[in-house]
Amino acid sequence: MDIVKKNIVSIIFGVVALVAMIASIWPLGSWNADLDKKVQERSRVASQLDTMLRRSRKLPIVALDPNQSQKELTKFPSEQIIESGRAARTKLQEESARILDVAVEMNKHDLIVPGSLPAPYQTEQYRFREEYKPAVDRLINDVLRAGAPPNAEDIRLAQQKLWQEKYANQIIVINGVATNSQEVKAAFDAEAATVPAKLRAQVAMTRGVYVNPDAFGLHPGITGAGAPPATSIWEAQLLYWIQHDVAHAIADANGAAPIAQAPVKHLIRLNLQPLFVVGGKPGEPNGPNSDPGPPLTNLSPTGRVSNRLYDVINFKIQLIVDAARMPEVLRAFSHDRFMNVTVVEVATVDPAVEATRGFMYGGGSPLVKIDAQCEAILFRKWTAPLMPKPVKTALGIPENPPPGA
Amino acid sequence: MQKVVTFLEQHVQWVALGIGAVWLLYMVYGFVLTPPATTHVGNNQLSAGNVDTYIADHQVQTLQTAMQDTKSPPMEIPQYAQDFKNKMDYRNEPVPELFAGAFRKLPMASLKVTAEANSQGRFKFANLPDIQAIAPRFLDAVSGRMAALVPALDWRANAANPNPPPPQVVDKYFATLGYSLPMKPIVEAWNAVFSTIPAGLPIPPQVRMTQFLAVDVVREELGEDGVWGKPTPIKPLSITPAQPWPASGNRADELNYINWSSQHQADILTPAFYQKHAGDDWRIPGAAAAPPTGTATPAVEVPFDPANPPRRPLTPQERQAVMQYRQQQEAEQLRIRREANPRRRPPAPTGPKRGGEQFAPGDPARPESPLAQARGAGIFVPPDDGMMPEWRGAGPGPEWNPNAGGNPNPGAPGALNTPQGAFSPEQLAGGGDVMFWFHDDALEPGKTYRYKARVRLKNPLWGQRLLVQDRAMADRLALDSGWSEWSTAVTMPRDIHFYMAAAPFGLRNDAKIKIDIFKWHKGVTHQKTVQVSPGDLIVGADDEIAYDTGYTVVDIRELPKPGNDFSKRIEVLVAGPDGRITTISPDDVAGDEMYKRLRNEAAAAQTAAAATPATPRR
Repeated sequence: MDIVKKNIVSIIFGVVALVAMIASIWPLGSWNADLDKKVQERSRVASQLDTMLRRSRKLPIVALDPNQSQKELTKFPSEQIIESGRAARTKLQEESARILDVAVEMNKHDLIVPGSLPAPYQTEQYRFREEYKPAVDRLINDVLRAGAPPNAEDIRLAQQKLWQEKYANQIIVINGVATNSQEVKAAFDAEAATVPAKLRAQVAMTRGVYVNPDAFGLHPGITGAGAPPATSIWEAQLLYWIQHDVAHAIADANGAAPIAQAPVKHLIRLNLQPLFVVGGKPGEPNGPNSDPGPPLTNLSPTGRVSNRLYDVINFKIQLIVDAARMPEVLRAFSHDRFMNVTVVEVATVDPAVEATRGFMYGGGSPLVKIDAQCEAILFRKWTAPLMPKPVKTALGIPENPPPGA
Repeated sequence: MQKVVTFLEQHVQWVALGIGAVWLLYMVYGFVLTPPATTHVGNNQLSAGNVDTYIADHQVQTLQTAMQDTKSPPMEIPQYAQDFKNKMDYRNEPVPELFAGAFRKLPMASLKVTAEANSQGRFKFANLPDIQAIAPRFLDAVSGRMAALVPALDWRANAANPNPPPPQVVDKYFATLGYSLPMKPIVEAWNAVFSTIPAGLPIPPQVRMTQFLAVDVVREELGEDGVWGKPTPIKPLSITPAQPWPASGNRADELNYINWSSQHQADILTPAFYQKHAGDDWRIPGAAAAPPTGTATPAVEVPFDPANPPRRPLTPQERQAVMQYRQQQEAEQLRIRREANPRRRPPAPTGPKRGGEQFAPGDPARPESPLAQARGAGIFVPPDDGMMPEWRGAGPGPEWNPNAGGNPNPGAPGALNTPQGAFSPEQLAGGGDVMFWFHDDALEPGKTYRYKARVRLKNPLWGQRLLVQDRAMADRLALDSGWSEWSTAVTMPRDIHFYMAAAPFGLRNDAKIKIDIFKWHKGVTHQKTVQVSPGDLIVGADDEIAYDTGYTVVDIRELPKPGNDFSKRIEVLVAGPDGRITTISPDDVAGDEMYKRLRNEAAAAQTAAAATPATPRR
């Protein structure tokens, strides 16, 4: 026991050392493992924070170009930055919708008779019949300021007027005998011979464009007796809207210039039918009620076909224009209008030959005759509410579209 | 052992201290020098004690700084609506210009081209090609009589009358005269003029071009006195597209005629003939006649399909079959369109309309329109080519008539060397001489005719006043070839014959004699037997056939036969329309081949008519 007493301190230290050695294995070993795990966890958190900070982020696309590439966001997306991105996206959507609104507004036309579509009462039907032709005539006379070479009757009346106003009172009658009738007659004949040329020149210098009498056709279903049905009114309106745009395009190209100085000299004809270009049946891809699809270039150079956004109408137009200003004329068709010239055939025109027919085109530059195939687009947003029910059915447009459609 | 114990007893404290020191060193090494829990954050090795501090001081701090950054990167939304408006308005976009002289380079037979080319006026043509000494050569004449199917040329489709009426059967006595125009001398005539152009002068080659404007034909009729009558100009058939010759000096009319004729060279040179209902065949002059019925015919490799005619000269029957097929197709398409939409506007010269699928125009395999209902509703789909048919708005289609333009396969340009439009004589001469023909269907039965012809070529210098020494040269529209020699005589068969078939029994003053009259009508020989007395006209009539011989019975007489006192010869004196007296007798009938043939034809026609079931009447 003495040895214990003598070495109590050593023993205590020994025990402590022994306990410490055992403790270093258990439980200190597991504590170390837990601590290491926690430290690694902290390390991962640090890595996540680093990743979060340095992750590559893109800015939202704010261009309507489908080929536009996304730009890098060089900053951390703070709440404010996220909010500004959301705002940009919303604004883009609004802008996109505004484009459609602008396009529709640009494309929208009025009815000749308000209320005549889609389901007119008989009063509107009769009113349409009465006002259809005058409306087309206004396009010809007021918008185009159309002119035509004087015919034989015009020339005769002008010569008659010339005689009465200038020469008839020059006859000197003495004792009931006209003493100078031969001289007056000779003078009249000389001036009367110039009347046709003067009348032609008058037309060329006062009117806007020569228009053939049959250039603007009327829908045969309207001009007859009886109340025209809604579908005929619809077709006539389609024709009129295109005629309206063509007339205004020519008028815009010509401005206030007379024929002799205008780029568009002569509207020979406008071939037009109330036909929609479609790529398939309703319900099928490219059908008239499907989303706009890839271009069908087998149908037209642009490949556009009617879809749930718009309808496509093709037409042909034949014009005589100043060759040097042909690009200006072609551009006038798509100036603030949804019309395209898709195919153009050009032939030279001999003004000397045309002059023998009474057309005084004026100008010194060459003339060309344009045979153009054109395409017009009508947006459903404004046309669909005007379509009669059979038309909607044929196009596969639901009578009562679901909300949001 | 004792030594060890003793040592331990003496130095145990040092042992314990040594062990403690070693342990301490181990602890220092294990927990201080090599900490048990460390990690790397970034490039820094961190112990458990300072990892949190480090993260808080770096990552967290950086993140907090970034999250508190309110400065947003630029995300400008362009004013797309305004841009769209600007684009539609072509704002700030200059009008594109045509390249200089764009239209001066276009080929046109107008003053401008040649004026430009010859701007210095250093050259002018002194002469026009002279082809007056060049005459067409007569090849062959085809003649006969035919019950022709003549379409209703004035028919126009309308709502009340959508289908064309059937063609009318009209008896035609016809002659077709074929000629050949030698091209080699024409080329020489051209070269004589155009070889004078100085080298290097940029006169366009279009100046050499010409085209056939017309074929002029005159005929003469052989009179009763054996003298040829006055020459009479021949008009084209009613089914041949034609334009009036322009008034001299009217440049607009002349230009119109030039344009028209350039597109109707085949109608001018090789016009089509009527479709045959009955009677003689028509054939191309110079071609072998069709073999008679019953004779062996050469083997045909491929049956003739009028929808796809072969690229070779067509026989008259084939041409007629093609014309008939096309008329039927057009009428069928019209019917389909009208059934699909009774309210539909005027017919358009296109096939059924549909979109999205590709079929050749006129392809019979094309299916029904996908939007047939749409038509009924007033919505229409475009034709297969995606283009709009011609339509002028109001009124029926004025230019479309399936019966018009009776030239289903005009000529066969490869074989007949018919030009397709304007040509230079050198090019056309490469195919040999040009064959042409013309028809005359205004002939009278029993008459004899002869013909001569010339062609009218467009003056290549027409309108080129700045290129000719005398302006009259440029004002002249046509260059005329020389007239051909007279053709061989063409005699039309008579349409009516009459014979005294049998002698009367006993010859009294009131005796009536029987006359057999044969009349060719609508391609068939009809027989009518009438009884007449002196003073009577030899005429008869059926429902629709007038047997008018024009002759009158003057007398009936009985004459002794030479060398036979017991037998008498009955003769009937008849007076013709011109007063000439001739005799007919039953004795002449017995050996008359014509009489036999006519009787056989009439009998055959009667048998055929009897075999045809009558149409029941309601």
